[in-house]
Amino acid sequence: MRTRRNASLTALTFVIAIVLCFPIIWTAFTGFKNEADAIAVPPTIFVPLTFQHYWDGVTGEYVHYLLNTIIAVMTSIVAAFALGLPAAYKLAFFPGRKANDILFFALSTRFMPGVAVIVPIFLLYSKLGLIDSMFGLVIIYTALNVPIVLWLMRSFFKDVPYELVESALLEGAPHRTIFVEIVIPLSKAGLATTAFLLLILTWNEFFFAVNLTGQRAATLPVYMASFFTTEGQSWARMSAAAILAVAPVLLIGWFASRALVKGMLAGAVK
Amino acid sequence: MVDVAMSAERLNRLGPSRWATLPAVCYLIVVTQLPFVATIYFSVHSWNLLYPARPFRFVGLSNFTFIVTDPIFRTAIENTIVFTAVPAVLTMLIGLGLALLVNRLTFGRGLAYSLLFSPFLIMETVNPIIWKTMILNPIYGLLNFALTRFGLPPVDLIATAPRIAIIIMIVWQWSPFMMLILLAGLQTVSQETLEAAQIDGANSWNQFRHITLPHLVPYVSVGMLIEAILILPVFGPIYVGTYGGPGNQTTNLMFSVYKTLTEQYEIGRAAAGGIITAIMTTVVALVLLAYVRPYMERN
Repeated sequence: MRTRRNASLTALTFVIAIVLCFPIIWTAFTGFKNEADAIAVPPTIFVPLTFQHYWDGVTGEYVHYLLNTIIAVMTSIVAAFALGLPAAYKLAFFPGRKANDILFFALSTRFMPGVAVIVPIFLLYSKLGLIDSMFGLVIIYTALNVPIVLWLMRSFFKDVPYELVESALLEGAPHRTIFVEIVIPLSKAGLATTAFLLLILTWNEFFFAVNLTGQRAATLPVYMASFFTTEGQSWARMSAAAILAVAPVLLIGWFASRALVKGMLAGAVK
Repeated sequence: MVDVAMSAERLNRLGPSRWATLPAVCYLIVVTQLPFVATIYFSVHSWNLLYPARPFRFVGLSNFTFIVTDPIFRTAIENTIVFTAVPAVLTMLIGLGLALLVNRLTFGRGLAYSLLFSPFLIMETVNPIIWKTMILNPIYGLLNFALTRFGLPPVDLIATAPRIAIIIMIVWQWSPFMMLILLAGLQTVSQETLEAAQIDGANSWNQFRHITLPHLVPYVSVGMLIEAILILPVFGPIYVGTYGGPGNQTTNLMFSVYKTLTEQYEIGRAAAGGIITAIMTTVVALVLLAYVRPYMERN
């Protein structure tokens, strides 16, 4: 009786999971159809499939926006780590009295809605010629990423045994050595989790990207928005492009979902 | 315990100089706080980039009074509240259901995570593309195909109930997030307490009602806090899904500021809209934080 109920609940769970995922699966499938089949009523399943739309995607302008996105994401993650890791090290092991203030200040900057800062940034960027530049976008993304580095890496650093840091310090090792040779090697999983999370958030960021970039520096979310406006009628082409745009993050997310979940919760709960 | 406290004290004195935290803090101040202060400054001035001849002048709070009285902005404020509160509640309920289901899985947990987590990974401009075309399109969409199959009348949500369409997109994307948070809560429910209750003859509903649910309250609060702050400035689904329309039925503050800035070049008014959004976020955060804090301090 009990096992029967368990089995049916397990089945139900997977049915719901597939239903929730269905829009994505259907979109991926539509990308393989011909345009006529993509909008056929009733919806078609057994039709000739083609790689053409995906191929057009990876050989077309998608590549330009993909590279932009990769550059913006990678540069801002590296910059955020460079700024945030030393701070997280101090906050984890030598919090002092101001630690909470710093952490909550950082958090409040992350949670500030983009519209509260966009006007002066837009004006300043126009003046400095930073509109539609990767550099301008990276400046903002780094600021969005630093608070997350502080919060998550502080809690991951706290998992490093305190005594290790303490004894090294009492033996006279400089902080740089402790940081590079003890703390960082013991926090690799945490670093990866934080980097994954930042990658997902920055990859998908839209508001600043659409306000501050044009053709040259636009990222994939902006590309998808304009694709929809200009070619929203070609469902198969658009579906393929949409799947290509989300694929990197989706694959990494699937691959890392368990670690990601664990890491995010560690940061949130501690 | 005393030893630890003392060694912490001693370590603090040996700690790195303020140069460890200073760059990060300064960077955040320069990139986020200075623009915010500048936004406040612009919000009390009148300035339109399209009319350079008109003077840049101080207008007090008139940009703010314009926003709270202008019907379009009023709709935007209402929609900001609706698009935050309704998804927050719905994702909490759906997330709880999903978390309870996933938590009792004995196999395939990784697969379930991956599938259920996927909507959260979809970018906010692709989400509305998928929903608006594949699912909700009145002629070719799957929803109407399903409805007519079951003998129900077709609907055109984007045209007739655009707010519901936007809410569906937000809920679809954010339910997985809530599921994750609640799952973490479920995994820390004391199994011993549950077993003891079972031995005492409590049925599963009573176990859920009196043990699991109270344990989840702080997780629900923290989850809703984070979610409300992140959903309040929702932008992608509105920009791509409806462009604020039809008319301005689905315009929220985020979107109306975007339009004021990029279509009308009304700097002062856009800034005031930004400040109002920031105030609303802060109010939501403070109210929910007051609710969460007792639990955080207890831990």
